[in-house]
Amino acid sequence: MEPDHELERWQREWRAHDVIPAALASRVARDNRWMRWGVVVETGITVVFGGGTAAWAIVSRRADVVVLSAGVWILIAIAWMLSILLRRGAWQPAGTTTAAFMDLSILRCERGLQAIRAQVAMFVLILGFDLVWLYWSGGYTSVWTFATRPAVVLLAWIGTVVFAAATLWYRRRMRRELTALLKLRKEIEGS
Amino acid sequence: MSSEPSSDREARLTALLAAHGGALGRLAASYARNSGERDDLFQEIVVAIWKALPSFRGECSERTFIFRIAHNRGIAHLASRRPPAADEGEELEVRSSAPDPEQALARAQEGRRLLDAVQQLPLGHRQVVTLMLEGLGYGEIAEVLGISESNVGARLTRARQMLRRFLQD
Repeated sequence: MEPDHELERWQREWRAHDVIPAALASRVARDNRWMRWGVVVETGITVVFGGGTAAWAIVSRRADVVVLSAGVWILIAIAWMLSILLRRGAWQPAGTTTAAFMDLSILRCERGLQAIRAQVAMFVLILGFDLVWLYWSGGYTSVWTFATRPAVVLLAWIGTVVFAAATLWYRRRMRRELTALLKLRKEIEGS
Repeated sequence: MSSEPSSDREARLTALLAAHGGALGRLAASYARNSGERDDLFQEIVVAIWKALPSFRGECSERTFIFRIAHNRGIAHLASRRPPAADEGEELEVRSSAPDPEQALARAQEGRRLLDAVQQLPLGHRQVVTLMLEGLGYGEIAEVLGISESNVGARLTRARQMLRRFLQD
């Protein structure tokens, strides 16, 4: 077989340069340990909210707290169900072929956009439940007095503005990513 | 979650980086617009390899496995990066490991020219070319990208023609 001099020259030129940040492996290991802590914290928050309200309901034996605990668990169950449904089939094994990865990335983006709608519905549901519960358990007689309480203003009004801004930003990012992925797939398929 | 001790995984990662770190850096450069982007992408690739190591069962070669991860991260990077800002003029820095400074400069210039040409290729061509330049055969390239060997051959023929043209310009 004839030697391919052009290819050999390109390979030599290509491999002549390299840059590897020092001690990267240990840095990655350290960062990853922090990421694992993040997962532990997220799970902890779920357990604290679900378990905390359940424990409060058992200890206090108050009807309003039992309603709160039941509501929290129903919302947790809905959130988990939505999360599992939206992630189904979109899990990305890192070592998959690039063709499969591209399809999965597009699916993940589409699911991400669906998830935003589900998250908005969940937010409305949670906020509605919380406000009704606070109003009912606080024994309020005037909606205006309730709606202008600092805790309600913080939770309902400021919280909603922050949530809406974050949701819009995230949706724009997901849409941009989906558009870019579709363009890249077209570029690869046209090669 | 994996039961592999963290120190074992760290040792495996260190060995992988010693063997293929340079190739991964060059691959990251083919997806990046500047040195900052290249370093960030390189870091992302290494993190992805670190996470994926416990799931590697030897269904393909270790080299195929890490190149798949690297290209997949590259695609994710292209999809998520922002459009270039008007004042974003910083170039990708290319350094050579040659001991003689003059030789190092000449090699860095050649490497820069080739990298520029590779970056101008459409993504599908760029992917096969970067793998070819790292010495992978048709079969291995097909395994990394999930396409047929004949498709690899067709892409490489067109890519080499384009590369020659870009290098002449």
